[in-house]
Amino acid sequence: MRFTGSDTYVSTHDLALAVNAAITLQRPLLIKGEPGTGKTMLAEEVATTLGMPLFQWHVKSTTKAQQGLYEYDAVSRLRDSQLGDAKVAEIGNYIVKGVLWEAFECETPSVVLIDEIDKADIEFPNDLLRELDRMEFFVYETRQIIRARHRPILFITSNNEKELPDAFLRRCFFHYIKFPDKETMTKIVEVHFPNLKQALLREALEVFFELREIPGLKKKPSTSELLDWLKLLLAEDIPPEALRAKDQKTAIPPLHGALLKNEQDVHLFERLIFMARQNR
Amino acid sequence: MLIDFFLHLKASKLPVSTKEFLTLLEALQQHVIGHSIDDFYVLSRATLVKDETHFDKFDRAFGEYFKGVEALPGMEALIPEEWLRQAIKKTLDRCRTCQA
Repeated sequence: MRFTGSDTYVSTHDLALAVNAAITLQRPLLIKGEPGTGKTMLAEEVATTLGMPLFQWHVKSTTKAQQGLYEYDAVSRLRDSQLGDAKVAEIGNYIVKGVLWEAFECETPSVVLIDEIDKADIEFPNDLLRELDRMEFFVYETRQIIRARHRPILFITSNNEKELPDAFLRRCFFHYIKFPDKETMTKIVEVHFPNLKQALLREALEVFFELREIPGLKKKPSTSELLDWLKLLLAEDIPPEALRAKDQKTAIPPLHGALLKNEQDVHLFERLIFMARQNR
Repeated sequence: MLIDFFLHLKASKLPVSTKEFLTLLEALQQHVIGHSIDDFYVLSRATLVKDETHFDKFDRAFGEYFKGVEALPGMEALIPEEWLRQAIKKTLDRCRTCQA
């Protein structure tokens, strides 16, 4: 099983290597990177390429590790017992399976994505250590042990909002998706906009990378914002010349709202243009 | 030979553990990579370094070990980002008062 990217996802060589290491050694792969660099998409693409089902667990700040395994719906059971429902006798009827349980029971090997693990509190990764190691867990209510039929390929993404505990990090492979360079970015754009005119692409990438170079921006524009901006430019039929205007009035690129999402960043950019004008 | 590599990384203050080293050896045994030093670099980084803030340190340690690169003095002085931000702000404020 080898992964080298797909028709809709451009992968660098080192990312492909990390993915293959995780698949071969059956250990989780932790992926970090700037927002908008394709961390979540990676799991989807690997699942599609390898023809495996994908189980997704999008973690929130309120998520607990137990929810990935199962939940015991005690309230429903109490309500049913008060109504005299026969279902009450069998406790198994009130166990709601979580994402990991579904993945463990899957007939074929599968891919599991735990998205944005750093959103949950600090104990969350630690609570999953044993389950990740052994790929099994114990259901206290029904006294069963649930074991994985096939070890799923585990992708874990993090936005770096919190430090992850060491014990958890030891068990994973790690890859940091760097922001793509111009060459890789060109390939990514070509995958999404196959008929884009070369001139427009060149000018747009120039403006984009220049914008990223500006120091002091609160939020640098990312890959997904570039793709959105290109979509808008195409929709509005903006010619490449408009992006490269030396004319003072149009120094700010058109539709820049797609790239600079922060009012302060727009002001900073305008001020720098003004400064540049003063220096001439 | 790889044990020396592992110990060199530890001596360079990288938080690497024995378990991760054994994982690396397992990966080599399973032929995850060929005989390329670049691939070995990527694999050892993915197995041993779990935080991107350690990447620079790892690169230096790796270079020192495999290519006999001398440790460059003065590389430890990294300009903090916060300082740069303040410098920009000061320049812009000065411009604003100049216009006024």
